[in-house]
Amino acid sequence: MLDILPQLLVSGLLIGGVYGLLSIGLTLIFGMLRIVNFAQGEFIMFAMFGAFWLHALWGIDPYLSIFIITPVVFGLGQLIERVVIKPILHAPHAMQIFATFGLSVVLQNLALTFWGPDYRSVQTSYTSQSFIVGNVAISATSLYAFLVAFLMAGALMAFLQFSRDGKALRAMVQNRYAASLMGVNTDRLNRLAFGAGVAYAAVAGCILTPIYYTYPTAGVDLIITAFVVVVLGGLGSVAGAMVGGLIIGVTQTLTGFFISVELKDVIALVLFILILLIRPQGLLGRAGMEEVGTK
Amino acid sequence: MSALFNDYYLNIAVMTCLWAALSGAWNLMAGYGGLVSLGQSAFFGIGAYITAIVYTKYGLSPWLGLIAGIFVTTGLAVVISWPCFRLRGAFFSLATLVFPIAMEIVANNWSDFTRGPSGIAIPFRPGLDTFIFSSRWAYLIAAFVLMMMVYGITRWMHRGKLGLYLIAVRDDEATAASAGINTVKVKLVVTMISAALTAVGGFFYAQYILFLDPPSVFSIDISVQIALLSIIGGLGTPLGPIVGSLVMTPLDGVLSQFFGGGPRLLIYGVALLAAVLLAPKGIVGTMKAWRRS
Repeated sequence: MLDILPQLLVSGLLIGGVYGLLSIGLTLIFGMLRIVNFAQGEFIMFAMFGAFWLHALWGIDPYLSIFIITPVVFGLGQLIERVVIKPILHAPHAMQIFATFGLSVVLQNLALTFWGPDYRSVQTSYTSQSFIVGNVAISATSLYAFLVAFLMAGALMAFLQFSRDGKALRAMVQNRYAASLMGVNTDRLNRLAFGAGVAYAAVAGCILTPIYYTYPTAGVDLIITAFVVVVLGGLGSVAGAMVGGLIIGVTQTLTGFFISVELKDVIALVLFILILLIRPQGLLGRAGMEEVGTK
Repeated sequence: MSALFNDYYLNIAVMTCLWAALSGAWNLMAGYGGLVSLGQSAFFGIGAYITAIVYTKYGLSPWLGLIAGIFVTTGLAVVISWPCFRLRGAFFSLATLVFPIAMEIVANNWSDFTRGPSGIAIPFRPGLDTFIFSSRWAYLIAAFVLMMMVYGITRWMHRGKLGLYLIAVRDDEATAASAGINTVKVKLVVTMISAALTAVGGFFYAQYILFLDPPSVFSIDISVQIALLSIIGGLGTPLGPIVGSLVMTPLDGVLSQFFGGGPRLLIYGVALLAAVLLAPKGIVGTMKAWRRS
């Protein structure tokens, strides 16, 4: 029983990395705009369909399609920010929630209308390939996803820390009004942050295509996990999203094996409620963050 | 033919009243208390399931199921509130989203009681004691009474102390607390009222549709639909949910006749977006603003 533990831990960490990647965009948008983007999963789903079609029609590798789909979604995100997000930035919560919820319903059903409810999958030469280290098998696609997740998280943290726009974004989070007085163009930065947030969803979608099925409600099923991860790690914290992802991934894998598969989904929800009770700002979130979300 | 035709419109009328009642119960929490719950379908589904289980498994009157459903959901409201009231705004909504998902998993796996994914079919035995009627007119009267009951409670709250307390808590909780309002108690009371009314809606749904399975009552779509009607009609107004349901439920009936799931929900989503972006005060609020100007 115990000799399978290393395998379970590795599988859990790998899937956890993917969870982290799914959650980075969500946490970025919340951290910068104070908006919970309920449509984030639909951006992931659209990217998955994009990667699927690029592969089906022109045989473009899903990993290569990252470089095509991400800029497109980045542009689309900027447009959507202008039309949907900007008008509700200072609206009551109910309106903020249902604006992004409405967006999610629209995107989901656009996909359903155009492409139907079927489950699709992309078969590549490396789909079922795996590396054997000792007595642990590492799936190639999960390993690539894991590496990309950490690369992308690192890139974002470096961007926020060192670049001019990153510094301006952090200033804007601290005090929007003061930042705009210092010459920070908050309208442009909001667009940039939302565009970048959904672009991260696009990367996650492309990376997921060889691992996961592509279907119109894929986003809904993924986003629930992402919510749990983000709340666990701390809404607004990029490092928190990665740590939260790893914890959820390992917990789910272990519960699924040692207790029961049905409980695997419940355990994440239980963790979610527990963390809200004990430490509502999340593991790496700043105290009071869950309250700031209100104003 | 004409009877069939009639039944079709009667069904839409029944559903309009039922959705208005459910949305009205949500409006108490969200419109007045600022508690934007996305978990109403947990109360709805539990109300429906308990009714069906009491009736089909134990052979008791569904009215007993209604009473049990009200007790369980108000109890659950207290349990849910305990972690969730510490959270604000979008965080509260995120947390409430979890409960119907958890309930759906429970209903799918606790097959001894819920018959799992295959669902519960409720035998058709008309009578007042079973709350099953052969004429849809009877259902329409009952649904109308339920809708007016929710409206009445909302009006009573709107004018009374509880409503004022709630609005104070919604607009600024810290100030409300410093003015001597027991904010937790006020929020708890409204959540319990809302849960109980939603459970009554679930009871009605079970005895009207006569079939339940986990996705048909616990789905997030139901929580969204409930909220959508109030937002389109006018959040925080007694008439809002009724107006929203009068506009949207018949429209939904027509749309589902002509389109499948995809385009129908697409139009729905666009309506929701348009309502939020163009008329955030809803139909009732916008009309009021016009009349004043």
